[in-house]
Amino acid sequence: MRKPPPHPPPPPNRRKAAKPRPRAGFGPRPGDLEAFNALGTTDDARLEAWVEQQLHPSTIDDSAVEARLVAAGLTTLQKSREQLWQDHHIDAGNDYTVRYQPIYQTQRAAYIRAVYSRRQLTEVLADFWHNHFNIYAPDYWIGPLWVHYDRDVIRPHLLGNFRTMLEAVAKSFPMLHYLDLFVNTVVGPNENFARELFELHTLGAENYLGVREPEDVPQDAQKNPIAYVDSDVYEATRAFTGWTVDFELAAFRYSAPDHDRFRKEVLSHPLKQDQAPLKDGHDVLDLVAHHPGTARHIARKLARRLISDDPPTRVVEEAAQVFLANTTAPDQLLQVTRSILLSPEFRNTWGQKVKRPFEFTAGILRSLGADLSFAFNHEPSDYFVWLAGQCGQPLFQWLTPDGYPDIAEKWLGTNAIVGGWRTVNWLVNLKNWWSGKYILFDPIAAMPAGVRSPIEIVDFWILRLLGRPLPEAARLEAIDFMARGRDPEMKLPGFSDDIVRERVHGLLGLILMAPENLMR
Amino acid sequence: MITSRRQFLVGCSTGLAAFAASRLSSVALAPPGSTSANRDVIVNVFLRGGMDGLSLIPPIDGADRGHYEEARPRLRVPLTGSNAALRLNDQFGLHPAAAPLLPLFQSGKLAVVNAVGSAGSRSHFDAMRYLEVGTPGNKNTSSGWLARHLRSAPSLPAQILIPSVSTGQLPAASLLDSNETITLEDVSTFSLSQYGDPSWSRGDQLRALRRFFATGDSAVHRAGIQALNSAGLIESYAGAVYQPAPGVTYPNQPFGKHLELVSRLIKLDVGLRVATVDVYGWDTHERQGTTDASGAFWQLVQLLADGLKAFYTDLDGSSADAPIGRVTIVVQSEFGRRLKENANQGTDHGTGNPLLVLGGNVNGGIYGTWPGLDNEQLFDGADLAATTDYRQILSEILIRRLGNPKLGEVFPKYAGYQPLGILRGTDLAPDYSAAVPTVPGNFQVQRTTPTSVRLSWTRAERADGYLIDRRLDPGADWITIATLNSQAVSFDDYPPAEAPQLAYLLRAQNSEGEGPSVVAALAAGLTPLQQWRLTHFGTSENTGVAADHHVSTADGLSNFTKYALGLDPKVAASEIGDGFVPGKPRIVLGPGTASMVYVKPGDRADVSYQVHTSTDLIEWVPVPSTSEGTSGGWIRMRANVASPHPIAQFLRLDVRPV
Repeated sequence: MRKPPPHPPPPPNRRKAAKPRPRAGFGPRPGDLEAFNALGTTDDARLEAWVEQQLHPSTIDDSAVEARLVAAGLTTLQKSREQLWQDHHIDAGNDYTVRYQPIYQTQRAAYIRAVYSRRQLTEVLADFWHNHFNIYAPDYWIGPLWVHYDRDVIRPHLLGNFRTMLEAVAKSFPMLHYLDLFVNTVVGPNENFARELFELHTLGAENYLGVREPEDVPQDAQKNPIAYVDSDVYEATRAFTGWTVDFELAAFRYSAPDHDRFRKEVLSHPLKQDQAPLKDGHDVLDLVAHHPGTARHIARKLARRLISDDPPTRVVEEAAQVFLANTTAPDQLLQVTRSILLSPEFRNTWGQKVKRPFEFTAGILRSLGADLSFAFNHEPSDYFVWLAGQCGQPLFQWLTPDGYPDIAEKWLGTNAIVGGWRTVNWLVNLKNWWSGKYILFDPIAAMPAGVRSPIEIVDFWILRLLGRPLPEAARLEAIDFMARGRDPEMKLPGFSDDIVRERVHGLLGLILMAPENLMR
Repeated sequence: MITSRRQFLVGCSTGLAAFAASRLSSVALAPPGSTSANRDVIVNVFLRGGMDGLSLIPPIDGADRGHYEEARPRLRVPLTGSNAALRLNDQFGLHPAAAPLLPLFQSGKLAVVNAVGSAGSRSHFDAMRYLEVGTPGNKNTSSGWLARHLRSAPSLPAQILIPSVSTGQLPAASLLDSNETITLEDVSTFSLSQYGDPSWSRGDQLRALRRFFATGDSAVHRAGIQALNSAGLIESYAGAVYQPAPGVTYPNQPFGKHLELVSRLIKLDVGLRVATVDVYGWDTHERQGTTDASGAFWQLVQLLADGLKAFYTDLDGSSADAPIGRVTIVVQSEFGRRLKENANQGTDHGTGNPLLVLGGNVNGGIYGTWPGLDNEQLFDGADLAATTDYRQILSEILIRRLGNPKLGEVFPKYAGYQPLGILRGTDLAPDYSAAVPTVPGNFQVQRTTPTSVRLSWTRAERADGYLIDRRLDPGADWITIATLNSQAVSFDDYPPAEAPQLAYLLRAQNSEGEGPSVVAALAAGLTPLQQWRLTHFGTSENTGVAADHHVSTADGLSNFTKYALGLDPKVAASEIGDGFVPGKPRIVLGPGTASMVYVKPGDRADVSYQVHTSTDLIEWVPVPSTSEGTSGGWIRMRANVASPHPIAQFLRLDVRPV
């Protein structure tokens, strides 16, 4: 009698094929795949419909998120700038828990929106532009106004006009303070803001030639300098003298006596003496916002966020042309964003980006369909936010004005990866200590009755959590993990059995820690 | 060298776990008693934001004191009073908050090199990059100087547990592209799980996870293996409480905790050779707070001095082989600050700056050529000029302490090294030779979608990046279409539609130049199977939903089976009838026979078809098929089994690529 062979190798995945899905979000939630597939009959049509929807966020009902923000008790989100200043600066004194409440609540709101909002592109762009105009929020003067910076300065312009956004940022109390523009006067110039305006906000360091005479800078066909030099920084510093803040009102103020009234020259463009109030600064903003170097810098950064660390030149040039052709259009950034999202480079690439911790941690909540309130003093919510922050991207806390790095090498350090895995394991194993019951989500209930064998369970969760197949070798490992030596095609007995249940939770952790979930 | 260490870390993971579990106090991976291996450690402390060196090491005498006082009416460190500068020599003082460092200076353990500089950028981000990647003026280098030291050092053992640690949440740029570095914020939280070992399935999970990451060689896969190895190792120390030397207390801030972590790893003898530690907050454009104890600068200097003093003392000891004897600490910042204070009691970005070297084998003192503070002597009329190239000091550490003379690899394009005499140690002849990268391996070009082409390769040694050229036909010019970083192993191109004989040229580059190139042409046509995948799935690659093994519909037939049978992979197939319409093979029972009947396309030269039969599903015997006729390009085939088993006779059709 021949010995029966061990279990035959599992048959290939029989589940329905995963369609390419938009990556401009924080990962799939249960039901997203079906909703996306219903948007059209071809992959291209679906993506185009999705992009148009997302580019017009007001057409997407997001009332459930509004309800969540209220339920989480994020009361500062509703306060006007004046009220924030009164409650969290004037009345708060040196009580930092009160001063920084608007920061902590904005962090929670960002997570709630990333995890639950249907306006996913909006959240991706809010994260992008916050980092582009980065400010370190936990600062005595800035913290009380953080809701204002997020709500009134950054978010209104995500799909708007860059020049308008630039001025809103430059005139915002937090930026005026962070980059010392508020102390920039004719008798005491401070170049901090002007330097970062060129280097980070507009032309970028790629267009910086250092200490050099302006007349030595090469010119483009329109006789404009192709780059900036130190003297442009100093001249722009002079142009912005007198831009300051009103500490009573927590608002922008222009102080004419502090303004340098004489002639300046920025990017080889003269600013005549005694221009109208504010005009010098506005002229500089025009010059830098409309410069081709800025168009390429912004296009490249956006493409880097959405496509790959070294985005292909073609898509960058295309987006830069759209940027330049629409410098005065109210929907300039909508058009730039669209040109990237509809490019073949965006459609056809996957796995070129390593998720940053914010994306990774919000993404695991999304794919699990976990219900975390993000309310304060709700222990799992508090702990999740702490754990996620340990991965290296606590929101709004990057110290320097360049924002969190957007290249893979920085996020492939062991701290970020181990921290992400730790968050996964904590989340999928989170139990109530008294009842021993898992909280936040119930994977057994999420599985259809027909999903009971190790193969079925593994295939179900791979598609549900990742929205795409795992390589076959990894899938077989996961099946092996789930089957523990049993026949992988046989239904597992005893689903009320804690050991089976624990295996399922362990499987979710395993899939969420896979290389495929570190990339997008 | 890099290869062997990486292989060790990846291949010996079980060994690692075993070492970790046994908590050996000394993991001697170099042969015991080996004296050739260098054991020195470099600790690179980076003061981020541009430290105001004119306040840390102010001039205290002569004409320059006059220029200094004139330029800094409010920020100058005074010569008298409770906040007076501490005297280092006749010319220079030390900021009063740095008092803990004074005894180290006086005992000859601390060297100050004045007016050190790099490529002279007033941009924080460019200036930091120049210093950390080690190629001033070229910020495209994508590996850090310490990473290149690790991979070029001839005197390191081939196998080390933890050669390099970047403290903090993100890796320092000086260690970019190092596969040997652990980025570590805190030992106690560096673990895959939160409550020790909460799950029965954890062991199985870790095994499966390791295999997940062993399925590929991308940067993500390699980083995952590195994370698994290091977590397994560090977890075993998590429970233990570290006890610094008596009387040593580290500042209770990230800087102090990170120094303590480095000290702990040095004492654990896990092979640490390189560590980086950051101090943030030196960008003092406004209210710098130089002269009073509550000021921002004062507090930072105090933190720096307390931390360094604690670290030094913790590693010091009475015995001759105290660890400090093999530790060198370098303290640097991206640039100094403008001589003239600004109107906001702050200072703006400048140029030359002091660099500190501290350690058991340092010849203390003041080094460097002081350029002077007279207006004519300033850089750009504004900044302390730079007179010493920072690479000269780091090269001396490399040669005299770390036993690595390969300056050409660590600091490409650097030449003319002369020791300043800051360190004790043996002089080795500097080796300025540097090599271009090797040729990338396994270069493949494949059409993946109707509009895109995927290029893939394996990494070249010493690559800082890759260049790709494209040629539309043999008569056309090569045109560079992409410049990629050192992590890249693939690229998607979107060539013009009209490109009959598309070819690509790939080579790696570093600051020495470009390595040998390799050319691959896009095959004139796709194989029939690739074309079929492209038609049905929009990709020719055997992956994902287009994979041969993938089952795209509920009929249970894999994609490849449907290709072999001439079926549409996205439409569920039904069983064939009596004609020549393709479908699922069918079993036909006749008197005394059982046959399998199937319909196949006439042009599938790349597929073999074979019917097998079995009575027990264990032993299968081949059965020949014969044609029953052809029609419209389809062939109907039949395989007969005579006298089938009375209870069960199984038949199956095997289709395989030829």
